[in-house]
Amino acid sequence: MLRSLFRSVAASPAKSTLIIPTAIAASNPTTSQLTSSRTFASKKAKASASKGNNKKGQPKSKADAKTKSKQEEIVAASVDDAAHDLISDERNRRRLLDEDERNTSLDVGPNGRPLFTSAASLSELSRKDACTYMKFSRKKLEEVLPERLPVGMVKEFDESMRDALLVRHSFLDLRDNFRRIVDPPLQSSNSRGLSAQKQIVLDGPVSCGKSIALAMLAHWARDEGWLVFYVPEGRSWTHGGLFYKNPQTGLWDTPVQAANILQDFLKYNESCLMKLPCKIVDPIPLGDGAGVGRMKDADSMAMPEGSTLYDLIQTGITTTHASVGVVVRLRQELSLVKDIPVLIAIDQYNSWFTFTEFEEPMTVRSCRPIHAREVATVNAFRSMMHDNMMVGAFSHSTAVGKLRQDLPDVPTNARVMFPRYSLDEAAVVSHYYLRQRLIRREAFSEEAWKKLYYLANGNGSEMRWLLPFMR
Amino acid sequence: MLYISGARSVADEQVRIASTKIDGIGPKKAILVRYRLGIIGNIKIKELTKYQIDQIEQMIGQDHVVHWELKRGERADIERLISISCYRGIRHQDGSPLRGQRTHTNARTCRKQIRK
Repeated sequence: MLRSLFRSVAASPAKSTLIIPTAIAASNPTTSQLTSSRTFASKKAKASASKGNNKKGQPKSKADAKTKSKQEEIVAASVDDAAHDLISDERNRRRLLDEDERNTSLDVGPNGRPLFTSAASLSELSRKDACTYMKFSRKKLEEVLPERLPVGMVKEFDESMRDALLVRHSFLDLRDNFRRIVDPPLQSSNSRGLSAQKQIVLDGPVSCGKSIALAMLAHWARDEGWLVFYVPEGRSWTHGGLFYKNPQTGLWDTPVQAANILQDFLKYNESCLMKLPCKIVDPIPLGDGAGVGRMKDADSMAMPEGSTLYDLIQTGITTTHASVGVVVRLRQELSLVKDIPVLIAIDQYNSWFTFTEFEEPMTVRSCRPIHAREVATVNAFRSMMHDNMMVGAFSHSTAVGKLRQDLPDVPTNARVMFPRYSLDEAAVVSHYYLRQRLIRREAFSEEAWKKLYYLANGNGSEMRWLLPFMR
Repeated sequence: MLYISGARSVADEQVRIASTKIDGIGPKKAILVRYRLGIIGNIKIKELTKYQIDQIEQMIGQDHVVHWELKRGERADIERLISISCYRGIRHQDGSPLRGQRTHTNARTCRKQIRK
């Protein structure tokens, strides 16, 4: 809201640039609230004016009082105008963007290159499509990634008013890496012979696109027909819900989280899971249910013969005592699936290397914080020392802090630094935001966007915030 | 409205706050009871199952002195001091402060008992 206000003020240089917080409260489309904000703004202007008078002393003459009252009116008027601009600005922008949809001559990037790619899906993207934008449909995205879309992606869509993402070299490298694992080339055309990595940890600075890249990878893999275990919020496995110590394993069970994990996994993969049979026939160990204690009669639950992974997951969802056991069993089953490629994609992966929200009481006065590795579900999925394809993306939104370079259960060469925008990518981004009317055409210049790029140091969200201030 | 160990609890209140409404349970003991039962702080009373509420009551009843037992114990200690006619007992009887405070001025809180 504040940014929209700034944009509207930047767009109207002739008017007063005074920004009063009441304008934010006044940014409500209903006229009654506008009028109330107008009176509030005038009262506030009057109050501030009167404070100024008290500080300076009584006005010397009636003429001074008149000029001051005029100034107050101008202030109030500018506040109202800013509030009006705020509301009308968004509507105008949307209307103009709808009109611009018909004008394809505007879809031009730097050096006359097309701004949008013609590829219909992520699988069809090639190196020529790098540094172009790919259009998506929000509805289809939410169907393919029903767990949740990354926060950064939703923000980008909302602020640019178009569901499109930049195709980056780093994403294409990631995609091609996993493509090479599943479909290895007969002869490596590259003499260097780049080897494909099955386990990757995406690390990098704040807002460099890790979560979006992971979500796009999961999207691509699901389009290819893979079985993808996508966790958009790894932190939710270690925070919230209930936790009980399992005396048999010594780990901590989180039945509420386990049920949520199974439900999320089932959302997109239901049809695929119905075709995959269970390969492990051992009974599933039972633990504490969510708020109902342990089962008195039984310690384990046997799965009927011929069960599929879908039946296994349904058992975990319906029987709260078995939910954690099913999640652990699911991890083992996923490693035995050979019919289709399996990809495990974990966002906020770094929250699995620090302490959880849970604590264990040790004495009458003290408690011991429980580490994430002691949680049964995290313990099952955290390790990368296996032969399955797995990608973990770090997140700076979880206040985990700095982790050591050699993480436990993670191969030493798995950590990949995800880069921020390069100069070419920043050029495309600036042209895209110009196309989306986030920047005024008369203010746009190469020098200006380069300045903002260096100011933001390639941080995508910062650039999006700064570009409307281009003068 | 729900009663846990004799203390009234609002359904929308968090467990960590509702537990402290019990006489004899403060913030530290409330945390201890919660973590023993595997309950996170931001879970509300209305989200608890009957089994969990019973467990809370059982744990509080077994390990902690609360409500009338706590008050009875405090009263018994005071009466013991009075019965052995020690300095502190006499001060309790007189309604004066007994921890070395001044009485020339102030001491209003202690003497409130007499005025009542």
